[in-house]
Amino acid sequence: MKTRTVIAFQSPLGAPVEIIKHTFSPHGGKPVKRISFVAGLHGDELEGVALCHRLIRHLQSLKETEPEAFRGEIHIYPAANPLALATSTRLWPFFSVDMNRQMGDGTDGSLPSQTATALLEDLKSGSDLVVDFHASNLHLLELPQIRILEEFRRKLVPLATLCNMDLIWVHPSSGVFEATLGYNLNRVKIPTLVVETGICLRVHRDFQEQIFQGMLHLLRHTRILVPSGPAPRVKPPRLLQPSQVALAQARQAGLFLAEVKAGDTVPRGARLGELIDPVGGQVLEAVQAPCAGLVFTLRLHPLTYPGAPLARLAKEESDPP
Amino acid sequence: MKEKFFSLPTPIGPPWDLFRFFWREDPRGSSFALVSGLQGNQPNGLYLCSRLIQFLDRVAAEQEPGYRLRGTILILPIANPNALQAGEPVWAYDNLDLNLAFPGSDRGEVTERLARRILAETRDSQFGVILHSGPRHYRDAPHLQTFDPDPPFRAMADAPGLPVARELGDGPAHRLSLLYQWKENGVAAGGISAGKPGELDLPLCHALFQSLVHLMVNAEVLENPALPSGKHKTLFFRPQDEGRIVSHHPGLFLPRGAPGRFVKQGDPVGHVEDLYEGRVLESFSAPADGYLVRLRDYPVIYENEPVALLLKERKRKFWPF
Repeated sequence: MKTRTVIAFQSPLGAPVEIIKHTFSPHGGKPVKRISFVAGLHGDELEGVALCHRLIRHLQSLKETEPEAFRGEIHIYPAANPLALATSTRLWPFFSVDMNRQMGDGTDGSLPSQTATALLEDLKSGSDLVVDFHASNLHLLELPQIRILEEFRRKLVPLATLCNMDLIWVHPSSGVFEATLGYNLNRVKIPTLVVETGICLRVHRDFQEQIFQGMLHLLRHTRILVPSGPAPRVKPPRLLQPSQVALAQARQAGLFLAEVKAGDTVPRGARLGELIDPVGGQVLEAVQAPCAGLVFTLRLHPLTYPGAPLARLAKEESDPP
Repeated sequence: MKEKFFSLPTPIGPPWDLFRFFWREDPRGSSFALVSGLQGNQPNGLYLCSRLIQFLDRVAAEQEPGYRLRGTILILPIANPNALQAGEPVWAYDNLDLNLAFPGSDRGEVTERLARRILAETRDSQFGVILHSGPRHYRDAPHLQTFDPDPPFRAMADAPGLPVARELGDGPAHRLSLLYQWKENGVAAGGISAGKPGELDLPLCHALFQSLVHLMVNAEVLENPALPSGKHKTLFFRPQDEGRIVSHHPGLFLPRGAPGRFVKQGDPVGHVEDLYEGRVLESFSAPADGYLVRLRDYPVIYENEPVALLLKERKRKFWPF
C-alpha cells in the first residue's frame, strides 16, 4: 500500500492538515480499472471512515497472501475532511462550510474551496469508478442504500445492484446536488455511487458488514480484485422510483416517539409513532404509515418542526395508489 | 406596515415569526425588495433595515420634508430568525446555510420552507437588494455584487455611490443563493456587502443608509426632487479581474490599513507573524494596481488562505489613478 498526500496545509499552530490517499496497485501490468473510495466529507459521518478502515485491513492482508488477486488499482481516501472529523462536525469548523457543497466551483479561493477542488481533481485523474460513503444526518437512521439521480440512472443502477444494499433510490435532480462530489464526478462521466447508511456520529456494525461484503462483491465483479475462494453473497436491492417512496412528515412541532424500527415492513395505516407536545402533555398526532411498505428511513432525533421527515417507506407493490 | 408573513411553530416555546414591512403608494409603480439577515450573525443589515423602516414610516406620515413614496417598497429585515437567535451564521439544528437553500420548497424542512417563502415574497419585485457582511474572518469595503450586470442593474448601480461592483462567477453553490434566484426571476438585483460578521459598524451603517435612500429614489419607489442627482460612476469588475493575495505561512495576520481604498502595485497590505514568537514570516503587498475590496480581519490564519482580495485595474475610462 502506498500513501500519498492529496493536499496539505499547515494549521495556525504549525501542524500539517492533510488529505491522504492509500493506493493498492495491480499485480504487474496496467490496472484493468481504477476505483476510489471516499469517506468523511462530512466530519460527523463515521460509517464511511470505519468502512475504509475495514477495506484497508482486508486489502493489506490480501496483498500479503494473494498479491496476484489485484488486477485493478484501488484508492482509499479515508478522511476527506480531517478537521471536521477531528471535531465530529458536519461542517468544516473554522469556516462553517459544508465541503460537499463546494464541489465544482473553486471560485472563491477559500481554503475549503481549494481543498474541495484538489480532492475533486485528484479523483477525476485517478478513478474510473468512485464510491462516496455517507451516513445520514443527526436526525434520521437510514438502511444501507445508494441514491442515484435520474439523469445518471442508466450507468449507475447496474453498478449499484452489485453493492449488497437494501435499496437503490432513483430520485429527481435538484440544484442542491450540483455542488456535491457525486454529481460533479458523474457529470464528467466517472460513475460515482453515493452510499447513505446509518446515522451520523455512530457506526452500525450490521450495516458495516453488509456494505463491506457489497464492496468486495463490487471489486470482484469489476475484476479489480480477483481473489480465490467463493464470492461474497449479496442480496438483490429493491429499486425504487420516486413514486415508490412515501414520506411521513410531521404536521406539527413536537417530539416524535417512534414505535417501529428501520427495516420493519408495515401495513398501510400502521402506527409509526406519536408526536407529543413535551410541554403541554398532549399527544399531538398519531403518525400512521401512508402506505404499506418497508420503513427504510426513521427519525431517531425526536425534536421535530413542521415538515420534518419522520419516516420514509418503500411502497409495497401490492399497495393501492 | 408591519405584517407577519411566516410563522413557524416550535416544539418548546413560542413560534418563530417572520415579518415584512411594506409601503405601497402606487401598485402600478416600481417595486423594490430589501432583504437582510440571511445569516444570523450579521447585525449591520438588521440595523440598517430598522433605520430605513423608521425613515419610510416618517415619509409615509409626511414627516420627512421633500420625500414622497412611489411604487412599492418591501423590507424583510430578519430572514433567518433561528440563526439570529442562536447568534450563528446557520441554524445548528440542521446546519443548512439558508443562502444555499434557494429556491427552497413548501414541503421541505424548516430552512427549505423559509427559503421558499422569502423567494415567493420578493420575486415579483422589479428591483432587489440583499444586505450582508463579508465572509467569515474578512472585512469587506462596501461594494455591490451581482450575477448579471445587465442594463437595468447598471442603471441602478451608480445610485448608491459605492465605488465598485463585482460580477460574481457562476458556480453550482452560487445558483442556490437568493441573489441568483432573483436573477432567474428577472429581478434587477444586487447584494451590498459591507463590514464583517458579528459587528455593528454604526458609521458604515449611516453611510449605507444614504446609499439605500438614493437607490430607492433611483428605482422610483421614493421621490425627492431636491435630492441632488449624483454623477458618481461605479466601476465594474469581472471575476477575471479579481486577484487574491494568499498567505504561504500559517500564523497571525496583521493587516496594514483597511479595505476600501485604491492601491498601487507594491503598496503594503499586511504581514503574517509566527504565532508563538512574533517573527515576521511573510509580508504582503499589492501585486498590481487595484481596489482593495476585502481584507482578512480575524488574525489566526492557515497556510494558503487568502488575506486580501484585490480588484485589479483594467484599462478603463474612469480609473482614478
